Amino acid sequence: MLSIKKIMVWMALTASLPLYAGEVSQFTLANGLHLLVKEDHRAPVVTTQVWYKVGASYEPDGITGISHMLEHMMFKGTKHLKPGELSKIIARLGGSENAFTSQDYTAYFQNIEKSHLGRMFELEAERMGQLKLLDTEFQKERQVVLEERRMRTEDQPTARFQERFDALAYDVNPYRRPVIGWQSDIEHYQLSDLQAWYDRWYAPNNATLVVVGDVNPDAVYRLAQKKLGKVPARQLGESRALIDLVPVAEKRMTMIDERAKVPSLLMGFMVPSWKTAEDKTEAYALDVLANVLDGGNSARLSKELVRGKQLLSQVGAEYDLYARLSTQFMLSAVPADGVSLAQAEDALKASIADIAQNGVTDVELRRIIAQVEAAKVYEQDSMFYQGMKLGQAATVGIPLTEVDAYITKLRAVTPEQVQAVAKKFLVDNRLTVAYLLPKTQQVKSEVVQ
Amino acid sequence: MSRFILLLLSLMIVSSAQAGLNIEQWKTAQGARVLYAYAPELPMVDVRIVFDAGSARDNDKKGVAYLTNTLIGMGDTQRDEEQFSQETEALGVRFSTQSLKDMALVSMRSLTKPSVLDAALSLSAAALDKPVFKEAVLAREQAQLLTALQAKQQSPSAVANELFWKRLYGDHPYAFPTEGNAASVKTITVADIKQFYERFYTAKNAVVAIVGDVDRAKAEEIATKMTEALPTGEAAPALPAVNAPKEKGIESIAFPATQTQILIGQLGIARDDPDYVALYLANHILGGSGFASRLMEEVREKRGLVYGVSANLIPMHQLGPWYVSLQTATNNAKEALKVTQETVAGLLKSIPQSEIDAHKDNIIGGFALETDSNKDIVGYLAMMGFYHLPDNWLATFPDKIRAINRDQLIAVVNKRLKPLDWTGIILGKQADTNAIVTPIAVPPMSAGGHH
Repeated sequence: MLSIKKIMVWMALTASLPLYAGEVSQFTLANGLHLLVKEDHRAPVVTTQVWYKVGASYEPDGITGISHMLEHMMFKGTKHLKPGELSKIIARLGGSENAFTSQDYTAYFQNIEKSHLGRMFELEAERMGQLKLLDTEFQKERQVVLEERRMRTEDQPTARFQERFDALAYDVNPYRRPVIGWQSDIEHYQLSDLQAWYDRWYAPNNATLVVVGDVNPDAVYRLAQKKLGKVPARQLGESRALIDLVPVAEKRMTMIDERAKVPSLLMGFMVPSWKTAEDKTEAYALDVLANVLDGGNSARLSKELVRGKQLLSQVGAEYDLYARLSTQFMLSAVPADGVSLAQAEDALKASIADIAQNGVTDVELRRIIAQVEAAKVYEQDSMFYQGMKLGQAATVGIPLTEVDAYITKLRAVTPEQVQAVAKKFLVDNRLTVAYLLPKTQQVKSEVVQ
Repeated sequence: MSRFILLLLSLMIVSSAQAGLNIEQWKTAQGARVLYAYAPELPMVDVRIVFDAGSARDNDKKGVAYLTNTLIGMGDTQRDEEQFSQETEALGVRFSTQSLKDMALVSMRSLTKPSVLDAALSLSAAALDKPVFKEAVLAREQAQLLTALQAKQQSPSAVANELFWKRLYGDHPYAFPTEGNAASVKTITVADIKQFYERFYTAKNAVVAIVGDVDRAKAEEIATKMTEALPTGEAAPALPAVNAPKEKGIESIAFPATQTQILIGQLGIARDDPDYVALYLANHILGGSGFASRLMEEVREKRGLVYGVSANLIPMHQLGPWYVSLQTATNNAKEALKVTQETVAGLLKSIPQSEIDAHKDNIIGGFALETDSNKDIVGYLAMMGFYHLPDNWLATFPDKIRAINRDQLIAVVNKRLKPLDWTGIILGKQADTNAIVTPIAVPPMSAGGHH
């Protein structure tokens, strides 16, 4: 007998929302597969997503990018399916499919007319338990991944810059490695590395299946039991303690790039995510802080530095509340013409100092809450995005009740708390500053400074 | 990192709809055409106003269409840009603009509770209908655009794309980049912007698309409010017809990158052409459907030469382009180009019934996915209104695909696909024209023949 554990989670609903919008049903199959189902009856379609708890931040040096390489190979043949056959079956049924790998997860999805859900489960069961790694396919696919790396990273000056920034900023922390992997690692994977990675992480007891669409949760559960229940659970690889060191000193780099045409600035402060924060309210305060700085056109950085003083041509602030590990609170900017990177850095630091000294206003916090409340409605326009949010939380280990309570938690953040996290975390010893200079501007910039 | 990048060609390319989608159409008193679909499931509304004011309407000052569109929402007779962004964002309203070759778009998404929606409408209507173009704001946006144009030169795919359109379209308005160029952008004045706005941002040159939890009466009110202060004006005249490209064959351009960009193609089809559906199916087979397509199979799956390769058929007011794009390591360029050219020409050799059936199944079976969100639906409505397609165009698309038989498909491919006329560019290191194979000629298939 399978043990049936069903928990109903109610998303935080505003009074005007129809009830179907928020309900998530949770089940766990006997083999450990975690199932999340959310009904959305607007169209006769379904999105199905399988999330594995593995990604680049799990990888050791020497085989960086192996999670992503394996993701490619998951389309390249199983015990019962020839290479490429899985994609052809889905296409024939009118489905669209893809997969993605990040630092924290690897996920596979199909969007398809709802009557084909059982077939999708069969295909996912097949590659969850019976992947067949073929060397001829692997050698070709390695070339594809190298082309992907050239396209995404090697030929994009800002992507190469970001990659080196991460390597410096995260120093010993796991997020220092690129998701796609270093080129020499990609060139040297062995088929046995892929097999070992698959054996270690691909099992129902390390996966979450998310289904959003025109479905009945109990029927989905029965279907999942039937189609995926037979994939055997396996002993997973040993989980090791993760490095989560707070940096001890400010780090800086200047990258001079022959192919860059405009200068660029990255500044990151090592901060806790919700997951690693000892005091969770600090994580929410950091989230609010990112929105005070860059939560739209009326937010501080755009208003003061792009339009007001016109020191920057582009600016952004970003914080990943739901990262699995401690993360960078990122500021990025392209200076306006004639403004040096040092001036741009000073301007961003002044904006932070202003918050640390003078705090933020109620008007700013009210604007953020209004945007988040509206976004909660808007995001229900995309089944795929709703699935993403569930899958990501489940995979990283954020309770769904916590995700549901997001607006409530943000509302509880006070101006004083925002000021306090700015003072505590946006400080020099947590900071990494990186300059990207086009080679043609190197001389000019040195003169300006 | 994704296994492949989804082709986000949005409203230019794909099509179809839910059978239940009921589209209503009318005209405002000022002459703006409105397309509306009721979607009560979520308490929100999407409003999109599209003008025939894309970069194809640029005069000698390239970029004027783009800058005019950009400045919508940056100050009007009632508010300056700071007040506008502060007030819209305090309501959670999303307001955005976008400029393409054919179209200029202004989009607004709002909650439908009256306290929010009514304010959102007054804000958006004032921004769109009563803009004030200020010297200082224009100067700042010009400076930002110049930086963005410079940054674009870092991207091999952006550079290659720009050169390809130039080569395919010569002096036609479609030849030029949407954002203009550094030299032209610098010369644009407030007077130029005002003149462009007054000519093209008029009711008769506008299509309003509305999807959301608003009834017909409210939708009429929205359409009227958003456009009533616009001058009636006139619809823009037809764009000039496109001439065949002067330069055939492939031009090599040196560029310092690890990959070589290859873009090759021909003139494709206009949006209202009766051959569109069949050509859409043909392109789907060639390279418009990811892993199900011939190009992906030949260039990536069999040979590992690329991460991405696609065939793109973009129907526009006048003949849009039909082209293949890919990028590959410098040393692979010659082989990848040869395989691509053979695959393109191969479409003239044989299209088995089984392959046609598989692709029809994919398009028809995937029909429901095309309109499973308000965002998708508002995009289709705007596109259909803009190109004067009939109300049932979307709903009947699967039937039209189903109705194409093999003979008809072959006839359209024979009539339209001209590999010998293909033109293109190859951009990368050691780009060597002499090393490149010339286009491959293939005698047309006979429609009734075997394969």
